[in-house]
Amino acid sequence: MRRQTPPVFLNLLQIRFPITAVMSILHRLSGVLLFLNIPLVIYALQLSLSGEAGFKLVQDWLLHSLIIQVLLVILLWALLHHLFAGIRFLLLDIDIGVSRAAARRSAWWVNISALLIAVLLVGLCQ
Amino acid sequence: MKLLTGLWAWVVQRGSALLMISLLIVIPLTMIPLNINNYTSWQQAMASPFMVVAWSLFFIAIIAHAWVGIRDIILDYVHNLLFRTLSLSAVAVALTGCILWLLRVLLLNAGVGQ
Repeated sequence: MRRQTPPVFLNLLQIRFPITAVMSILHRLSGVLLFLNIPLVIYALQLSLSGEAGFKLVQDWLLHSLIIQVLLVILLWALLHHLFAGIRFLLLDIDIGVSRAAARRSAWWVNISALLIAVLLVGLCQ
Repeated sequence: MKLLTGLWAWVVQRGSALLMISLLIVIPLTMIPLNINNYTSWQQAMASPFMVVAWSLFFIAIIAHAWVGIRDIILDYVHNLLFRTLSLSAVAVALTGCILWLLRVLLLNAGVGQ
């Protein structure tokens, strides 16, 4: 009898990681980070719309709280990485960049540009 | 239960992704010219029917997309049927709560239901 299901190997400690795999696991990680912060974003939106005081409080957090700013950089990176990696996957869906060399090149672009743009955007806002 | 599995999950994931990419362009392009810098301008901008619809669609897409993604991760790593059912249910409840909460915030701010 042949196996009916494909073999699955998901042990993260034993898988070898080429750059495309690094990009892919970061796509998952960034997705989980964004998922976990959905309530925080809705809460901040609610507070900012609750009145002058709430708006001022959220504004102070964004401008003056170091913890919030660090979280913001991480979330911005997560959003950019998830967005770029997602666009890359959508292009792969329609057969663009499928060759191994192209896939490696685009994975490098995703990893580096997400990090770079996140740092640059936060730097510009200081 | 075949709801949001297989091909359906793929369609929802890709469709919500395309919707979010579009709205990530449309929402900033319409909000930046409004020059929001205080509570009143922020509150009024978010109360306009266009913003209510755009932000609602954006969050509905986020919630649908998050469901497919987190579901995939749970199916990959949680094999015990009891824990799988529990974690999938918890995520479904949390995401449903989030979208209802978001819609309530947006609609109350727009003066709907007062």
